[in-house]
Amino acid sequence: MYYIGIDVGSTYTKVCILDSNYAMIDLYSYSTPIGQKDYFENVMSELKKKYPELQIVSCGYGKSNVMAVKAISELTALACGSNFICPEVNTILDIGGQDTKIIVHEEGRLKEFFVNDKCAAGCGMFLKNTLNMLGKKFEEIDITESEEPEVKLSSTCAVFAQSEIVGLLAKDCEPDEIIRAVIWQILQQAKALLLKVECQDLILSGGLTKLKGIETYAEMIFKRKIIIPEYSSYMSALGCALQRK
Amino acid sequence: MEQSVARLQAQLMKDYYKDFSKYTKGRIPEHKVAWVTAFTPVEILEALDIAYYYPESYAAVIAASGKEQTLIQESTKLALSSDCCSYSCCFEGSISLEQGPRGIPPKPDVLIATNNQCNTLPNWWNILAERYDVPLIVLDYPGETVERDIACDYVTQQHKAFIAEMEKLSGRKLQLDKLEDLIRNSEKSVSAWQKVVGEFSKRNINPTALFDGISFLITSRCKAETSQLYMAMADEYRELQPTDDELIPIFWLGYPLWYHPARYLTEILDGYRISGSNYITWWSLDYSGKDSFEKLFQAYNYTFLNLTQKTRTERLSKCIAESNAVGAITLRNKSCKCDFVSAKNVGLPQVEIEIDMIDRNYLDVEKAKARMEIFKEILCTI
Repeated sequence: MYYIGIDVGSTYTKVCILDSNYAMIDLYSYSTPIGQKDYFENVMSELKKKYPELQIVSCGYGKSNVMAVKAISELTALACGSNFICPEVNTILDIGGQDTKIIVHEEGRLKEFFVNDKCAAGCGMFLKNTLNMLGKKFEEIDITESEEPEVKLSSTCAVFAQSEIVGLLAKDCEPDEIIRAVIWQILQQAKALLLKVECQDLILSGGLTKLKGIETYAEMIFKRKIIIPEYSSYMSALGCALQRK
Repeated sequence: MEQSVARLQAQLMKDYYKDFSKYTKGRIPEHKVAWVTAFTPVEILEALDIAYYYPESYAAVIAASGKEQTLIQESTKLALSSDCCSYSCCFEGSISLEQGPRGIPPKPDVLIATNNQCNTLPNWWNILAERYDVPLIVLDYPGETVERDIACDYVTQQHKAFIAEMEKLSGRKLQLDKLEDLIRNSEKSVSAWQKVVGEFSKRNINPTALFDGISFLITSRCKAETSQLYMAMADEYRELQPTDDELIPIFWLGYPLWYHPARYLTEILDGYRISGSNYITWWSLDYSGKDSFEKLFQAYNYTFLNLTQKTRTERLSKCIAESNAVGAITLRNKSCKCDFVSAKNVGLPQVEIEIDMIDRNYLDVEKAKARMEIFKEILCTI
């Protein structure tokens, strides 16, 4: 029997495949497709060919488009997956493309959650838009050993911050400095969520964790130990795969 | 008994609304008129035969009639930002256009604002004072920030000065025994209302009835009929079936949604029942004291929203425990940040939902549904 978890996120879809002994067989991701229902029908038939005995559990924005035995919330999945990878830390800050969430779990069971989906300046999309403006690629960013940026965005609104960036560019501000300021701003917005829960060490998850040097940068802002586990962006998919009927 | 509740409600409403523009055809009211905020010591006004009206409550009535959007839009012409409290936006729109389900309240001779519920509220009342060119009296309640004896002297001094001003306005002399009787009425209203609330967690009571029912404790708390109404309601509720154990009991932490026909989000609460709410306890004022002045001080200085975070948390915890709720829906209200502060330490699994108690466009129902799904997963795995 194979257990497949599919996390259909707003930007990427992540897949995790476990065997019946919880050994990881495969882990991969791809851009979340348009026309999801048809797409996942094809995915299902391919998976069934490869793994005749399987159970699929889905989560994420497009979870209902997957023909799964069960669709669960991405936060329930994240709690379960995170506990499997890093059971000693029970608080996770997930900075996604569209929203930022903080969750607390108890042995993998979701206990508390708070979501910021009102403020674009606290989400990954803000960085994506800035990179588009600057003609930079996500993979090129490296904030290792970065200090607190000299340039700060005064606006807490992503829309107005974009105007501010235009002004900074006109003043010949270095694009890398602007990017550091944007990441600083996203983390500052996310920091407000930390006040809602009691926590010491913190697991960081979401697309932003793929940035080079984010761990120490986040530690500087959050003033606590930050853990970015291997497979951090797959924790929800893993949490789905860990569900047993 | 049902007829008695309906009759008493109708009587109290008729009494409150009889001088609104829809019914008076421009006739000038017989009494002097005060507009007051929700935690004003209205027993003093009642004792001096001054009529009093609550703009905040009327904003809620306007939203319940489904007319709030036009009026909120109108308020933007008055340079009120949409970030301002929707009570103020809705009511300012109403008086500007002279529109409302019952017309508008009679023009004020005086405005009375208190800071025992919201510190920004007196600023809104400055706008009203400018509009009507009438005096604005602001009563300052220090809450728990100073010792009780000092606070009592300070508030009593203000109440005495307030009485002197209101005597001048009304041309009457305040009779202390009449004031004492009215305070007793308020005490009885609170006591009877608490009996109503006490049945809420035990019986199959529609929360809508309580969210609407408390309006009489706001607008008519010192009228003799109010305690009669609540006693009749409590009698009626005692006859109802016990609560349905199949449903998950949850606490509604915040305002009713006045624009919603049920006053709460029925569409996302399948499988739940509301077993308690802090809002319905806000006007359960404590009138204890050796004389009328101490009683008024005690009641209006220690309103829930004027308490320290520590005391709020203690009261809220007690309220939640009595409701037997296993989780809480915590409302982040665009219009009332000071209420949200009180929800800091709930001590129960909770789900936060962003709402406004007046402006229906502020709620994203789909997002709220998604959060309730997660919340159910939490509650069902405890």
